[in-house]
Amino acid sequence: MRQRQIITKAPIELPSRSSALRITKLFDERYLGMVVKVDNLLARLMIAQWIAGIAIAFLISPLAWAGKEAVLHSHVFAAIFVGGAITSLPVFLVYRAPGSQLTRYVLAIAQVLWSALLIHLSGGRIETHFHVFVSLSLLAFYRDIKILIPATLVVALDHFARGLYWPESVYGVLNPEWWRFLEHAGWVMFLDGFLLYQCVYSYRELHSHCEQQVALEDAIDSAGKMEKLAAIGTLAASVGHELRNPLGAIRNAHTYIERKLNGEELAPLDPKLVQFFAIITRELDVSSKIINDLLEFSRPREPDLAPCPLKPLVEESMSLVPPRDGVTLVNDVPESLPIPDVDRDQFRQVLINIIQNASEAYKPESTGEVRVAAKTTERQGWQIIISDNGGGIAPDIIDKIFEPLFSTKVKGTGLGLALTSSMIERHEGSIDVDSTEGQGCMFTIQLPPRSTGGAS
Amino acid sequence: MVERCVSHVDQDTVSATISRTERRQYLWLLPLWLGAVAVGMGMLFAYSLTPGAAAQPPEIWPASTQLRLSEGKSTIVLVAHPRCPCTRASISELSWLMSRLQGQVEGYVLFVKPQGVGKNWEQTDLWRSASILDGVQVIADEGGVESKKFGAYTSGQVYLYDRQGALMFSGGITPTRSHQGDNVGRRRVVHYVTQGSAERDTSAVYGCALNDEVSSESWLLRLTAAALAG
Repeated sequence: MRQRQIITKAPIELPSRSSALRITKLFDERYLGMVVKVDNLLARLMIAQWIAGIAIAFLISPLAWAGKEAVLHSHVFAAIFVGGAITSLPVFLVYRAPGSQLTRYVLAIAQVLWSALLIHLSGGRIETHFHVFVSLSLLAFYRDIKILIPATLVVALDHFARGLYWPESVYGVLNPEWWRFLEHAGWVMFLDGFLLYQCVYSYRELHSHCEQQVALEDAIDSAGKMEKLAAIGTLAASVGHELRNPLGAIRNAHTYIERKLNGEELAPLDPKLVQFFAIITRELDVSSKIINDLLEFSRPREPDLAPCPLKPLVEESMSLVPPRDGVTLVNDVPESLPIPDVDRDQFRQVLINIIQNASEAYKPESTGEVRVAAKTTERQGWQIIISDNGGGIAPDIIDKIFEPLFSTKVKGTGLGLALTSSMIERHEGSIDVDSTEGQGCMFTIQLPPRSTGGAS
Repeated sequence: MVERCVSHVDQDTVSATISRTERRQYLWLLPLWLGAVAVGMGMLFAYSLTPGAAAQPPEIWPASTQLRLSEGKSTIVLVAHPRCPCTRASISELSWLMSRLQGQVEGYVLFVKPQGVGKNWEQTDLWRSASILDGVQVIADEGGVESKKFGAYTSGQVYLYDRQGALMFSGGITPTRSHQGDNVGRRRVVHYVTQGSAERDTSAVYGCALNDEVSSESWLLRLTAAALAG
């Protein structure tokens, strides 16, 4: 399953890209839910109107007579079959395709067709003409002004045709004035005008509610994250500071012993001494990195931006990543790429963290490739893409990979990607991960347009 | 705690749901549906606009009729089937006419009672509606004897005779079957009574047949109707 996590730094006034996506998604979800409810309401109304139509036909004109002989009145057939035909497609569509635009349009047309049939079945009673206005108002429940168009058109077409061939059935008089249809259309448009306003207002109100909910969630998330970060920061500062001095002493002692023993033949004394000495050296480096990460996390430094060619920086970063058998690192950054303004140390750390994670994601004895590519556009700035064809990221953890102290590694501190994200945000950029489990993943770093210096 | 509004952005998103439902796989049903409804509505309108058999009225007030010509006023006669639902509109229009022409016209409603029907067969809501009209006498026409003297075949047939007993108008006073409202028949009656003339002296009649010749209807419809009619 394809997963996506986006972390974005954006101007304060506008919702971030992820927030905008969530607003759109929430709005779609709520709007669709509302539309489906209205679909169901109107489907029930269709059936109710069908039953009512049959009841009206049986009540008002059940039988047609010829002397003392009687047959079922045509209005009964009309109510059953024409009413059934009008009801059939909208109810079918509500069952099979609730929420679709086609369903909405068919329901709108069917509702005004019901007006025409009910007016007919009731013997053209003027009171039944109110059904048209009630129907238009019901359709406004969709908060979609486009839905009113087909309904209004059907009403207009019905008026036009009746005005030509049967004017008294719609105007109540035989020879209506030429402008009479305008009067009727005017009343319908009058109602449409208010319904249009209501549709637009309700639509915007729904969108506004979604914006507010996402903003509230963001604020709660942000407050929780800040609280967590503050606690981690305090702990990190304390632990980092307290460990740095003893570690410094250990490293001095290690260096002294290393110098003293330099040139001595240790292996004959005890072969394990060489092996253990290498372990001490390696673990000291690991400890230093952890302490540096903790201190960097507790006291983030604002980036010192300066033009920095990307290709050599990627090359340098790759050289600092511990090599793994079977995993090839490929620097695909073009030589001619314009030079961005970045904090060289921080951005190198960003690249190392991601490349090392990608490299370590391969299972032992498997082979693969970690590729770094980059491109730039004048409007969008720089895009650095680090991709691999390893195991990918599981869908249930992809949301958490940028959270501090989250790690799937046995020895990981869970600070690497949190620091990476934090550093990129301080560059006013964003990081985006796109992963297909079992097929690899792709990190995309987006840096804003700033410098367009010469080629690197 | 505010519930998280969006959990994952995956293939099961709302947008994907919308796009699935947006598939226009049922669009082909739309023209079929509109066609079927148009045919049904067309048949219904055609039925409403098809008049009944026109009367063959006597030009002079029939001497043999038991009805009396009004003195000093025009006389209007409405021949009705007591159970015809379409005639409800004719009674309503007669009410409008009697109100509009108050003092200038008197009338009868002849409810045709076929032979062989039960007692009070003609006592329907139409009878009661007609009974309360000012200036109108309601008469049960046993066996349709009187209506035959006026040459009526269709319920809702109206005749207007002047004070001398000359036929001025013969026709219906509804726009279509079962429908009320402005119509040529009503207008012509008003014109004759108030101005002594009209462009034409006839109009189409919409209503049930007054006699028993309904051979075109199926036995099934008759059986259902018989059950409904009790």
